[in-house]
Amino acid sequence: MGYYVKDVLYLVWDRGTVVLSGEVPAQVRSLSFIKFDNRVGKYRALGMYYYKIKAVLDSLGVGYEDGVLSPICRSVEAAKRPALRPYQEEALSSWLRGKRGVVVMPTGAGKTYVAIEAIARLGQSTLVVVPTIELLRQWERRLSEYFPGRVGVWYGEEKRELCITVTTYDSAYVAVEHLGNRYPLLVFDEVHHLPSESYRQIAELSPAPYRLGLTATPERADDLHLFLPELVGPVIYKMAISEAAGKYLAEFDVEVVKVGLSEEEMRRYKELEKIYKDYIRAKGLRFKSPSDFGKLVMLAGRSAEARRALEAWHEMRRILFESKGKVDAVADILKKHPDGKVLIFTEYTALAREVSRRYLIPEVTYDVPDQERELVMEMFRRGEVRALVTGRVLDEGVDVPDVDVVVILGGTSSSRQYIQRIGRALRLKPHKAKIYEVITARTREVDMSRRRRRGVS
Amino acid sequence: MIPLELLRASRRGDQVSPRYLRELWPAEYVLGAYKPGMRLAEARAKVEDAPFEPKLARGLAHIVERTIALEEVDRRLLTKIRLEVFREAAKAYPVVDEEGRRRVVEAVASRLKIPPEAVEAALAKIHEDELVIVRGPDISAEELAALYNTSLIQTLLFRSRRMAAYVVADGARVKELVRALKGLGLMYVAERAGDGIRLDIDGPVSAIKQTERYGTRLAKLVPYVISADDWRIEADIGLYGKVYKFVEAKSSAPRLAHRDIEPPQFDSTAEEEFYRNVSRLCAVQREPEALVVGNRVFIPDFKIGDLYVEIVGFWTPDYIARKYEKLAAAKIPLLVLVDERLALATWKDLPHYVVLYKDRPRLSDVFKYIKPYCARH
Repeated sequence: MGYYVKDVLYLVWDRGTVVLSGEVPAQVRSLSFIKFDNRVGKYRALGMYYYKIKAVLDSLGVGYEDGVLSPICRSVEAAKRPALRPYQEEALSSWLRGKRGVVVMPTGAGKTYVAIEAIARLGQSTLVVVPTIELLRQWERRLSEYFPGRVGVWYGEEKRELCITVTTYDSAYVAVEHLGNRYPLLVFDEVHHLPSESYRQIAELSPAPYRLGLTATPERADDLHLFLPELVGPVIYKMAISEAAGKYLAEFDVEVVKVGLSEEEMRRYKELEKIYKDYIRAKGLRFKSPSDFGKLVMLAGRSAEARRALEAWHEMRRILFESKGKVDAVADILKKHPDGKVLIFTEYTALAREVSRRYLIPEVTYDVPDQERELVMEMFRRGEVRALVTGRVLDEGVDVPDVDVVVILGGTSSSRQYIQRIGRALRLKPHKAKIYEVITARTREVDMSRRRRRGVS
Repeated sequence: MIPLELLRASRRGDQVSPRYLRELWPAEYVLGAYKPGMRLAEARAKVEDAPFEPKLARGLAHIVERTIALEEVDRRLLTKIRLEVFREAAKAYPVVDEEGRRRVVEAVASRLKIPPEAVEAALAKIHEDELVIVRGPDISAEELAALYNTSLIQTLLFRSRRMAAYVVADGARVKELVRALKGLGLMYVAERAGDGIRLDIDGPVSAIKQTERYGTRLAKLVPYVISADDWRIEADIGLYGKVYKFVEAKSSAPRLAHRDIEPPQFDSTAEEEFYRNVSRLCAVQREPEALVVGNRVFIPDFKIGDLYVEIVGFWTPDYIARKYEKLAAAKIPLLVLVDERLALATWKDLPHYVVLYKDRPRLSDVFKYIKPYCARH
């Protein structure tokens, strides 16, 4: 037909993959990540290998037509630039060397500004991926200060692409097939989420050559963080929480408040505990890490006994995390800090709802419409309300500048969740931050609390 | 479709199959739990107390809840009242006893000129499960069981890596299936098999690695497959770290439901944007009737009045060659929008309106061609 030259090599984007057609050199065909696709009779690779394929072709001196990237904006200019602290500048210049990699900094140390300056220096269309809608709004607001009129969001009902688009891990997982090739730079906030089985595909299916990951805690209990170097790049800057405390972050005190279960709650708890423990003992199971717990879940798929044990475990948790004593304990803590800004975390939304109903403080959970959640966050930021109660929605990243009291009414034994939660109160302030952990005496929660605090101080 | 955590399936050797509901009484129990006048939370509590497996009860409830109507509330107004309460409480912060709480509620009530009970109701009714059921389920136990069993197949397919669908059906049905799978971003290889055809379906990434990425999309094809005169599904399902075979056929399946056929999605963001922009001004038909061009089937992307519109993105040379041939032979009023990276002189020779675009088609460039055909909604 004459408008495509037969022996020229074409690189084309196809929904998360790069298709190579025409004359593919043998050295490229033999690359381990390139597969021949019988369905279309062409070679194909995951989007993430795009820059490697290009590097190989360039080193071979082979000419090719490249239609993979199709950036949404030709260039992105910042209206103003953030003033970076010395350690932020250090993190940035380390990233700029390879333009791939993970920056590890404690919550409150200003990771966002490192990313903003990275986008400004690179000047290319960028997709920012974050865990929650609260964080999406925060990034949108922050980015808009530096790139006014250039910041869009892509999630749920609102899909508006601009030079810099902020999206959630959930939305990006689905949309990467369509959006992937429009953004040469990917920024992953709270990048420890990325290596999970499904979210990992955002990095795998995107052809973005430039990648930046941000987190306070890259390690995962399931070791999947070992995939991060391949997906985003190596850790190129790391700052420990102890380096920042007192200088860039507030110091904090932890107080453990023990509450009792009511007689009725305790009776039920003991019953369930017996069902659970009898089963574990009979099967000789031992739980050392969270992945061991998966064994019980697997067994529950097969036997009714295991299923009962698992159900007992879930109900025990609910009793611990929702006990009435915990709701009562909140009153005493609120009274102790009449001038403080207080953030209360629960494990289950039912408890958040009860705390909200009883003390008339707003709840930020998925049970409440997005619009109310946004308005409430605004009010909290402006100081119009003094306390918030939330489930896991605010575990991470969201900036609530001058919180000085954090109350944890229930949580897992994960020290990451713990660090993230107390991190909400760690923005630098003249006085010490106060952390309360409310736990149920004489139950396994005492042990859970000990485990999550291990390795933090 | 019901969520994965409510899937009930049993495994034997390397086979997996859904645990279908074959009796009607559990369906009747769950239907009976949702009575008009009740709060949703009360109905859900009854479901939790069901005298059979909780997963079955919750799965049935999931479907039933799509068939009931809840009282309508103005969520904006509820939020407004709630925010008033939170602000008022902040003035008296901290509000820790019943007396203080009552004072806050009353102050807000008198300011908004509504009774205190209405304030309490607003505090509660922001949560969906506090709403009252105004219309109960309008399906029979048989239908519910059929919907449930269909959902089980679909939910099992959430974890599928590839699916083969064998169908015996007329051309229109097959075309619907093929169009749906393309719209979902899936790929297929077809072959004749017995009286029907067999489609091996997966997605772009499947050629490189096994992935459950396309599972939810494969599940959406089930309604198309089971509406064929005869059908059979084979799929590889990843469960508990192993891969199982799932096989189901018309002859062995329980009664299924033929609802839930979803409208096709767009092939590309360029198409989607174009559709959004044009449909603000003119009536646009997406994927109009199939045309026969030469001896092949051609379904243009859009139709505006009598004008067909086809968007040609940047794609592999032989795909473009096939498309070019089809377009060249089509004797219809046709507007062709071509990615400028394909901008080669030959496109100009097409007997149609041809407009090049960069990144995505812009309405301002093409409106003069569309205008004569544009009918207001």
